[in-house]
Amino acid sequence: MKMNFEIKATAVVSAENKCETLDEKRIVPKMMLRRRLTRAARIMVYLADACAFRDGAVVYGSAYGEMQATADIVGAIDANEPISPTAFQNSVYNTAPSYFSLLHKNKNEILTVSSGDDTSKNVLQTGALQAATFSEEVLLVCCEAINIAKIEEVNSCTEYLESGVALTLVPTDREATLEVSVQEHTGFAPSLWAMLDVVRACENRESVVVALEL
Amino acid sequence: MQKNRVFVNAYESLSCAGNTAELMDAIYSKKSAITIDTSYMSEHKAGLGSFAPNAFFPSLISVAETVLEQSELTDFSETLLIVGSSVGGIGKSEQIFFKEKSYQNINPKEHAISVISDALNSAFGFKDSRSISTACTSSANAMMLAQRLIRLGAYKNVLVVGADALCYTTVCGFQALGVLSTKKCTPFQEGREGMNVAEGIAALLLQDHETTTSIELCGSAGSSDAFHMTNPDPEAGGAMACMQKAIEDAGLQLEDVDYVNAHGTGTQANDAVEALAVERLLTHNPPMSSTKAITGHTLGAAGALEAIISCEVIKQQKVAPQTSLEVAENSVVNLPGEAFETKIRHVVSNSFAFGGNNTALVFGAVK
Repeated sequence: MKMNFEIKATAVVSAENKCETLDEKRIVPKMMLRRRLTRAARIMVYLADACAFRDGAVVYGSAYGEMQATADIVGAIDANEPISPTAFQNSVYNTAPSYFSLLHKNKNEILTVSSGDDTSKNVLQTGALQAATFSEEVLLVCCEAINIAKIEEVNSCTEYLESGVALTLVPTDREATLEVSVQEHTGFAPSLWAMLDVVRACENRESVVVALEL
Repeated sequence: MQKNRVFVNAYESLSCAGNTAELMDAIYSKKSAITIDTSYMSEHKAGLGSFAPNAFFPSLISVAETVLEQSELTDFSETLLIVGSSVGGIGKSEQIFFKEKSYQNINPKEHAISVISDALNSAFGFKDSRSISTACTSSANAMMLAQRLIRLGAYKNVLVVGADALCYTTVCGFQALGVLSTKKCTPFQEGREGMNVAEGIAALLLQDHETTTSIELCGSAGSSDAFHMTNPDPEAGGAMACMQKAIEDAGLQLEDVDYVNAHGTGTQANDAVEALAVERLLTHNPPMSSTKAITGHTLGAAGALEAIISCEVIKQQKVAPQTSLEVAENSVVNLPGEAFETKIRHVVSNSFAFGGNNTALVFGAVK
């Protein structure tokens, strides 16, 4: 079942190692909160800010979740050292959008998708379902932040150890001007490709209506 | 817009209390299946719920197979799979890392949440699949999405699977937060010690048509506390909001709720806030209990497991008692000490998670 959605805003960020220009001090003025943010959370709030989105339902996606927190916990257990409570609370896959909700006091539904290479495809589908359910603008974010020590031992999927893509969409009765067909986006993890297709198609165009499978 | 009704037409589960039939016997006879264990933390005792050490994935396939056998489907080729899990394959990654002190032989695909849907897809060939990971609301949110998809007519059949295995990360992580109980957990009890981490698998087939044994998934809703990463809003705003919206989504009045299957982890913070939410919202004071006193907290699987328990409570028209309760901290809410038969039209099942992620599901007898 397909429905049509207007893309209202888009944003992309990527870096081979670490995204340096995430504007955290302006976006997260409270130091205590800012210090607790994971790398994925910093990317998430930056992308949401770039899409001018603060209040509404959010669908977030990540194939591998909070890698640094996970590595910290497993490393501590292996070394028979105490686990940081902050590392554990930051290890769940919905950490980044939860910090976004704390930052903006956003009490709307947050869902997190983790479907391997199909993650951003499923984020698009789930975001479409949420937008159709609420008849409101929904923020979709997909992010991978895997810049941890010794990641080269397992990373064969991306040149960018930090990357994220975001868009907002609303249901529309207008004709679709774009169908999603997942292309390869060199350098990015495959989990981001479907959303990158949409975001790239929006570049230099005033209005894009995309047909999405629910 | 099209609005189909959504029916739970088949289900099966596996927890430390056994399969669904064994679980319901344990719930009604108040026999906790938690064991006191030191295998994950040699210096600390913890109540844990384990059913099949090293046999999690075969058990996953077996539970889904049982649901297929119960259903009228010949296969799952026209069925969407939605998995809810909070840990995915991290247990295997831990084992490799502890042994080799290296990530080298960790397969990222076997580490990810999607390892569960990959295993089920390999065994059954679903039409499509997706995985939700919102910590302890994962499979409750999977249920909510399944309901919305069927309601809109996007799918006729959705299999929801909640699945989480025990692993060092969760057991030791909850210990680090200081919320593990060294004993069998005692939800809603005054002076309770904490929660029991457990593993669980629960699968439910949701469809757009009713059968002779259907239970209706009438409503669902989510909310965010926007308060704290692990502590719930002490005013219970998020918990009340998701319950109220789910009851409205079901087209019901608050007083139509006849039983609440609580999230009820046994932690100080969760149970106090959840009891307050129910006290303030459901002023007709329906019976409420947490079946985690029997199963422990199965994390991402809990929403689906407790959805099955809610369906069984409606089918049996018998309220689940609050096991291990001597003196309730909240003296207003109705925590039945014994099982009893009564007319149960609608059940609310609550799930709450890290990040202030809240989900409520409303089940009903088919009219």
